[in-house]
Amino acid sequence: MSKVMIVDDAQFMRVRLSKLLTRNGYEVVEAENGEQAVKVFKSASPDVVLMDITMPHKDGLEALSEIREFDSKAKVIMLTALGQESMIVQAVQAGAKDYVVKPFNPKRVMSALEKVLG
Amino acid sequence: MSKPESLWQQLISGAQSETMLQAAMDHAALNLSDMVGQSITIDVPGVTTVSINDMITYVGSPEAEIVGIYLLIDGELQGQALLMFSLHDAFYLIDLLMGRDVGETVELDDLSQSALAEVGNLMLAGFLNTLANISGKPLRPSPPAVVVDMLGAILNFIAASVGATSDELVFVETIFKDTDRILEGRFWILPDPSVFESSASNLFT
Amino acid sequence: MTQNLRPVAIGEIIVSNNGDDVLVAYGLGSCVAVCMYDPMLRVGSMLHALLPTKPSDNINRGKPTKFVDEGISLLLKQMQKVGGKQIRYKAYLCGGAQMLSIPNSTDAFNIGQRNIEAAETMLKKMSIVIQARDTGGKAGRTVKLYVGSGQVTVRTLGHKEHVLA
Repeated sequence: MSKVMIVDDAQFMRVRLSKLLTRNGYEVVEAENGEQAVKVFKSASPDVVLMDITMPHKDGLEALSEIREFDSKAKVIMLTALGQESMIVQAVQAGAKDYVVKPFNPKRVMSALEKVLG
Repeated sequence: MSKPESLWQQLISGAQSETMLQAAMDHAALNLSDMVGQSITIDVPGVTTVSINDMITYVGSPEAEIVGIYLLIDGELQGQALLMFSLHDAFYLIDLLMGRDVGETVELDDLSQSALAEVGNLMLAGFLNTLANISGKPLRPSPPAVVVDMLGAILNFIAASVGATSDELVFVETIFKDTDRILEGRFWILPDPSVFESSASNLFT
Repeated sequence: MTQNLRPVAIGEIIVSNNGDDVLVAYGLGSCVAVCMYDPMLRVGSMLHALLPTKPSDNINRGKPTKFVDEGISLLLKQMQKVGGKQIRYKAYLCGGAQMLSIPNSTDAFNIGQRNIEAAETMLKKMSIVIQARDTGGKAGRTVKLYVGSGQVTVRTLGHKEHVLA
């Protein structure tokens, strides 16, 4: 069973994603900001990360860089409301494997996970 | 004006102002519509100026119980944003977001507040995404803050941020509704007062 | 008893010697209301201020009474004009809540606290003792001064109006 780390400051979003992922057979760990994400990544070693960008205490782009510094093979998918070209370029340059814009279509999230894990 | 062709100037008084505002607010409404699974319509967005004294009665009764979702904007478009609902409409919105029966939500627990925060985040992000893709530069919202209080007290914060430089408030506004017209919300986007700094002395002398 | 509600808007001062008047500042958030009462004359006044201190440069930033320090000194002048004597004044301070805390932002957001401090400083400078106060916290308030009795009341959301003094 693949382990997914959900990183989002909104509890509402974590609950929704967590339901979706467990229903589809994934194991889930959560973090509610960028700082926590780096810690949880190190301790829980998830197979893939779903990373929000706008968060207090270190945003998702900073957390992405730190996680990739710690593990250059880390698989991180950005899942954010910021559908802006310049932001997408920045995330991809920092090593993001995919970029899904909220509000998300559950199928889009699932296919992104399958692609990155497969 | 310090930068005649700044993004704020284009948005508030430029030749393409109406088109840009409409496209950006449409995107905000579309994001909400995707979240609740219902179509959301918006009034034609406009640029409004009111005095600090009148800003509260412009919206409603100063003691009305309101849910406000407040965010800051960073990047080329420094400013703040405020989304307002009556408590009743906020409950209804939470029912929609959580897939509950209408009338089920009667209090704002942490999960409900975070659902409303996410509405603020997604609506403002929709608005900013449209403009960022026009200007090619990133525009970022802060994490949202949700506050439930008297209307006057909520708007007090906006008044204080503007009041240091002038007695007038300039903002982009739209009112949005769901198809059943049960939900009605008000969305404000406010430029940072520094946008008008150089002209403020002209306005009030 | 007839009551004549007189709303005091942001940046406004009202002085009244009409016993039927009730001066009221609705929905104060970070704003403060400074009430001053002369019990002998039964004159009451209220200032509804938005920001702590008026910058000392000469740039016109709108109404001077939206600043706590300038507002208090103008309020005292207006009280004096109708015969008020500072030695008799009973002063009350309400408001100055911190409505919002924004993640990643600085203390600059706590205008409420700075408003309270500005009022304390100014009143101390004028040797006026604050008789009672309801300040700080996170909730908005409606403050009333009943000119006839000198009574001050505060109401927060979900609560009944309570007597401060």
